[in-house]
Amino acid sequence: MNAPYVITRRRLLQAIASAGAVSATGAIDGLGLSAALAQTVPLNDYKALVCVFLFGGNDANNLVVPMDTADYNLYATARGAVANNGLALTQAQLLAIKPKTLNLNYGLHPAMTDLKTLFDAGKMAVMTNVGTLSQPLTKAEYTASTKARPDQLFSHSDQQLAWQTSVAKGIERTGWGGRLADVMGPANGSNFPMVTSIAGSAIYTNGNTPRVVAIPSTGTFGLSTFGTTAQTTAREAALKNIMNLEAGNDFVREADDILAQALGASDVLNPIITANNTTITPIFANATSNIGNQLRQVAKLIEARNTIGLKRQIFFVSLGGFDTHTNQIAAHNTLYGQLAPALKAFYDATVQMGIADKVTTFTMSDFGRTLKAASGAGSDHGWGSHQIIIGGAVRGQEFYGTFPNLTLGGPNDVGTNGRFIPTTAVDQYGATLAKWFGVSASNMSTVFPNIGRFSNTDLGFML
Amino acid sequence: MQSAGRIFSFALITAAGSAVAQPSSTVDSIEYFNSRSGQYYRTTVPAEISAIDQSGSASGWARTGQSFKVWRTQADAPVGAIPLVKLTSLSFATPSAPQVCSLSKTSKLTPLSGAAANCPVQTSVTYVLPADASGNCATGTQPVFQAASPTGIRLANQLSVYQEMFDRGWQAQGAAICVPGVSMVADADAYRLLKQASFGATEAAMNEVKQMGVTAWVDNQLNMAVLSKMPALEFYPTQAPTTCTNDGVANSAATLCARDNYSMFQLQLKFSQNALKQADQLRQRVAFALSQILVTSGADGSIMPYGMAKYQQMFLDGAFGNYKDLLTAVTLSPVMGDYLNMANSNKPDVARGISANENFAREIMQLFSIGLYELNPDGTTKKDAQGNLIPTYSQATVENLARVFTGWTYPSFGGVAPTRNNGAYFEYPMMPVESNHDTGSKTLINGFVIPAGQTARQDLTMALDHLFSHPNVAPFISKQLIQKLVSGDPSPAYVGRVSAVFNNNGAGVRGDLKAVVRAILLDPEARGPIKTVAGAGKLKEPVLMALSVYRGLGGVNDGVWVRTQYAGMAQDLFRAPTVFNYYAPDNTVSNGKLGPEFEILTSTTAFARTNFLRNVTNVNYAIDANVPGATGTTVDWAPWQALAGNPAALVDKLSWVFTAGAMSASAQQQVVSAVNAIASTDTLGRARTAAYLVLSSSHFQVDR
Repeated sequence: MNAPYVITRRRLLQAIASAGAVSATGAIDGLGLSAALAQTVPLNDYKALVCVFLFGGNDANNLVVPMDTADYNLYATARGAVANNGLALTQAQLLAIKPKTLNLNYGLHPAMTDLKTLFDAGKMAVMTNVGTLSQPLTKAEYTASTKARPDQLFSHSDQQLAWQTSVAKGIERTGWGGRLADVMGPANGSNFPMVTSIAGSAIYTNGNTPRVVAIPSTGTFGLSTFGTTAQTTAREAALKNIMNLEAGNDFVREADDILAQALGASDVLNPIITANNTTITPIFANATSNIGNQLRQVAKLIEARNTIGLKRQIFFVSLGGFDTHTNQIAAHNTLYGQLAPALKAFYDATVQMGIADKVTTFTMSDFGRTLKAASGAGSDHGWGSHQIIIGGAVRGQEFYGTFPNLTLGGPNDVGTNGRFIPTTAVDQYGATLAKWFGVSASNMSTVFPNIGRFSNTDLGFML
Repeated sequence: MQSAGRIFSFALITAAGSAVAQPSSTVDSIEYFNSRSGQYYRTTVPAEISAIDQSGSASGWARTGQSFKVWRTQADAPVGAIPLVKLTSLSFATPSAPQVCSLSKTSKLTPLSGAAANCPVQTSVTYVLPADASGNCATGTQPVFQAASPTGIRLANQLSVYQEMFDRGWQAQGAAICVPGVSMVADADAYRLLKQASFGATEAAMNEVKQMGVTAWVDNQLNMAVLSKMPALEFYPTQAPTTCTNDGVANSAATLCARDNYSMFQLQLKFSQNALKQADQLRQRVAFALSQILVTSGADGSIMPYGMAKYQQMFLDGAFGNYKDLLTAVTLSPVMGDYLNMANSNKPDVARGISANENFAREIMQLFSIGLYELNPDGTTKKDAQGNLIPTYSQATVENLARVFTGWTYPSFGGVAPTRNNGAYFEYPMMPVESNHDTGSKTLINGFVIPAGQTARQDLTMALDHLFSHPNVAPFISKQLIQKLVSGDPSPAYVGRVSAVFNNNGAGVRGDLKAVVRAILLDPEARGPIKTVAGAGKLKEPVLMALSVYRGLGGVNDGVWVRTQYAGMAQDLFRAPTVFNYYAPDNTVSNGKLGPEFEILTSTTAFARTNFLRNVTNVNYAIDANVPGATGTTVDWAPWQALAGNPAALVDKLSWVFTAGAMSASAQQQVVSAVNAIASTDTLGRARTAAYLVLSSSHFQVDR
């Protein structure tokens, strides 16, 4: 029985509503958070990390394509011509980009004009061939099974978990976004939940501190009223009283906790997301897709950061549909056509708010996909893949990591279909972001338990 | 314990007693609570009752309102009665503050003999019956439950009181004794059964279960014909004609045609109507569960509603058939073929560098049959010598199985054998095109080889036999069915019992879903009045929640409005986000217990659910003229209004229908207070408020 814990937490959660921006020092002690791990020096500046999860496994082989002849030919040969149910984009279609410090040419997917703008302006970087690893792994070690592989490679659910928890082998019940909140929370100036999802539940957002608040991408966030004010008040009071009675059943308690927290958060957030005086909406005029709406909601919350009172915030948004086993060319045109304008609008919003260098947006996805096409003009589940990082604090117009050799059965391919062993781990990718976010070196292993297995913990893509 | 032959019926004794004008055969056991010490106390001694009552508020002792009867003498009691010797009493050493003396701390109430020292015992001996080993009481008697804390015990014949002590963290110790009276235990079990085996209790269903008994009702459901049908939709081409495309004009013929033939509207509507009205409730629940294991989704725009209707009908028809038959039908369904790309997956094209599509091959193993890791028969995972989980298959298995499933295409119009990849068509099962089938040998799990040179169908049959013979299938599927019907985190023993039935229905048949469902529902872990295990039960999934509300409240309901509500609560019917369903069977809640449905309970959907209930209890939805046969949605409040003059009775009735008695006494009291705040003349306001509060409480939202 942990009833006292629950009561403490509920009281805290209810306090959120009235406290708003006000810090209730000490309240977090009831959450079981080890003080030794928490960073308690108050923060002065505001920073936000925005995770964009591309559900289904984005085929980044067509997001970023090598343009120099020899490498492009490897790509084109492996992917096959579109006319033959293959997947190779032509050089003419691709949007040319050139990393500042590499003498190599690449092309972005033709639907990514908005990202080309950001890349060329130095506000976007590409992290190449990053993926789930429980430790550094070569093809020889993979083949000989001399070192542990991640659990259940190529499985959606498992690889999503591995990306979101940063733990590729074994069971982990918290995500690295949630653990970031755990270590940064006490320095954060408010006990309002630090993690906000506009995309429902995701293990990435779960830590040991108060659970993530999930808000809708549009509409209101709160209880509807009915009857007279007096009746509504009496009804809400009874509803809350019932919720606060102790529950011997785990599931009753869990459901009560979720609604209790929602009620607390609603008082703060609903006025923000339903406000008419936001300057954000016009910026998203060309990004009205679902992912656009989600990022617009994030921008509105950032706009109201002083009302919420947090110095650090973590956001989770997502776009699904990337499991492109068939008809990938058309699917990518649609999905990237939604993603790029939404990311650009969000970046523009941060510029307008004058905090572009305080907000960093980055992508994650289940896995990459096979370079070789699958029957039906799609691709199957792969492993390492490319991700993008956007923001004023990004050392942009650069590629980081090691671009894979696109030879089927080549040095990076674990088989013959183009499933690439990552040359950079999720842990390193995340740790670079976490360092910028303010996580101390001593706390890094709390957020990324396996970070010690990798030599380079700052990949350099953040200023 | 079958009592009929062993004891006299209570009614008979009373009748005999009254004939000779003897004193009553029973006495009252009155309960007191001391608000200062937090102790409970019971007595049957009239002098003591009088003394305590007279001590008033000065002593801190007051009646709780709880009482039950016990037999006065052995002669009054049925055969088998045992003496209950009262050893405790209130010490009046300080008359203004009597204390309980010699409080029993035994874990079970046991009959004692002899006197405790230093206690002004006012000895009384009364008689009760022992409960049998399963905690059951004889006909005409009711159980008294015992809850214990480190400081004392509490006896309660009312389930809501017993539930409350459990909610407060007391140890729930089950039925201790049986006393005269009518038991509500059977009622509670019947209501619980209807949560598990139907889309929610109704007055009629409740009477049916009570008349037939739990086992007979389940068997009746299992043997009932298929009454629920998905809509019979006509073929429409994947590329919609302009006459069937939303033309932006509300309710134009083209817009309605698009609604009916290019969206899941008609399926969602028929599903809702079936759940609200059709008698084959258990079949519908099992079909709904299966459709969330063997998932396809209308969110994938290429699946036509006329095809999805056939796909879902498969689960209604096969809910009590064999899982192997369903797995085969699913594999060959063009809907699944479209969804996971087995349709038109051709043998590897070496010249063009294209491999067989792996999508279905992977997910049939991961999700539809054996799962990722080797399991024990009780559903727990096996470990190797190093303590690691043991994967059931490798990437190589997926690639080989992908080649097994090559060479299938959508059926041809008119059933002509296809010779090439057909375009999407969902009227019949997929058909093979041998020239597109990979005839090489394939190696599957544990070195099992499918030989070279076989046809597409031979390969497929052999592969399904191979997968279905895997020992994982029974625990993997059984556990998920338990989770969807009864409990999110069933004990391994429960899974083991059901999975044994999956492996052998008693007649040597494997995969018999009728036997499996029966075993799930009649298991001791499913049956009984109240589950006082902390991890018992599950959150109602949104569709079930919404339909249960309307079934329980009663009234007129055409399903038109309620179907619009599922998506906002994150369960857009027949439109799961991915093949992983709306939520995963291994999703956990904060303390690590398995709570699949909690994956879609967030702060956003918590409001959506609660606001849905606000609308249910506050709004009547008019007839939609554009839905043939529509009747609108109107709750019949009259029966509830009839109870509005007695808020306690109103809330008690609601808590029975909707929580099977699981709503604790103090939670009920909160509802009563809110109802009392509304003028007694406003019977509708009272009924609506009471319903809203009971329904929005987790005692209804969570089935346990």
